[in-house]
Amino acid sequence: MRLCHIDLLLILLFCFFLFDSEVLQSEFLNQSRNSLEEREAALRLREEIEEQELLLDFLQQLQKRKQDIADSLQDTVAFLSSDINEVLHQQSALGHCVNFSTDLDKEVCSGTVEDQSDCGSRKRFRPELQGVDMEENNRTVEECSRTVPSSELIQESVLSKSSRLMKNFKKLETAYFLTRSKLAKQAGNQISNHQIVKRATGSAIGTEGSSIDDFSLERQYGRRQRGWVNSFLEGLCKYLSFSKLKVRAELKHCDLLNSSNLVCSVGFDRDREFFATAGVNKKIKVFDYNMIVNEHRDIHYPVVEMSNRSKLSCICWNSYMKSHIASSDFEGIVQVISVACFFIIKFVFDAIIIISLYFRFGMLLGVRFLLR
Amino acid sequence: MREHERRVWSVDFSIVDPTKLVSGSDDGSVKLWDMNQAILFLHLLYVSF
Repeated sequence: MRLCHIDLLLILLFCFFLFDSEVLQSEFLNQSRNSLEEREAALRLREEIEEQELLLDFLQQLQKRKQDIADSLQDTVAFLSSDINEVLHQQSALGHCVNFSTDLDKEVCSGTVEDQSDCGSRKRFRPELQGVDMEENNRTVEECSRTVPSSELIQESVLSKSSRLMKNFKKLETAYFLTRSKLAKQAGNQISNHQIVKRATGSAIGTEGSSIDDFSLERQYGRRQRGWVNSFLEGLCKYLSFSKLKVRAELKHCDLLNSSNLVCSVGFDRDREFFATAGVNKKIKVFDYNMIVNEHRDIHYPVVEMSNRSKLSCICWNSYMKSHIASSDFEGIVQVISVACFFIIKFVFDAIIIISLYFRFGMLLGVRFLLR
Repeated sequence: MREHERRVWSVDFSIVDPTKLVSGSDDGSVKLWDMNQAILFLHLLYVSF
């Protein structure tokens, strides 16, 4: 009986081992482990793909942007070269008028002058449409022959001016592109309008008419471009003609009683006859411009002097009603002061009498908008 | 009563309508002023002078 019991135990133990090993090697569990690994691998793959996609997206964006920049640069270079052509053309015309003014006349009359104004493309103008150009050229010929500068002088002035050009190259560049883009926009609008008109008229009109339209449009565009180059040149010359600021007169703006004489605001009146100063010394002083510029004195007295309760921050002359000055101060008061009464009295008696009239807005004015 | 609570930094007349005036202040407000009535009053004063 006891032996039998042990046997049973052994059998049970054996069974347990058997079960254990079976459990360990069961297909079901192995399968699940495999699938887990596969899933992990798939996840990793997906991540990698996503990363690659991100990279690709970024690179494509970058390429697109750079391509845009390259395109716009190409456009810029294209219109720059067309402008250069235009300027060269004008220059050669001027050279002609200096050396062979009579030759140019002949050339113009024969009607074979080629114009490079439209984006570098050459085109011939019909002789009958040359009339306006001829007049222009003749005029320039006359002007040139009247005042022909020597080439040395030209070179000297060009050298001195080009150094100034280089100093402010960036600013000039922005100015150039700004005017240029404005022109392009205008021209674009005109062309699109023209196309709309053409579409509206339909195809019933023959090819002759439309070709004339195109021709006149191109011509107009060319003319405008030339005008544009000239206007930019005009601006450039204006800019170069002023090289420095010079002090015409000095105004001692000091009071013995006030320690601080900081001037916060100055302004000319409507007719540029008088100017006013105002600041920390709590006074608005009006000076006669011509008197200060023409009469060289040590001390200049103001024509009007008006005291204020607190320090002044800003003054402004009325552009329509002469003698009205608006002022603002550090306490928050805005007021309009009329100095006209003073002027009337001053001119009558020719003596300095100070009368100032203050009109506080709080009392007199109706409309008051708050923009908070 | 003051026009602004704090320091006024800037005033300017309108170019289109010279009876209009604008002011900007430290109190964070920009105020638009109409001075038609003040001008009427000024005319009376001119006559009396």
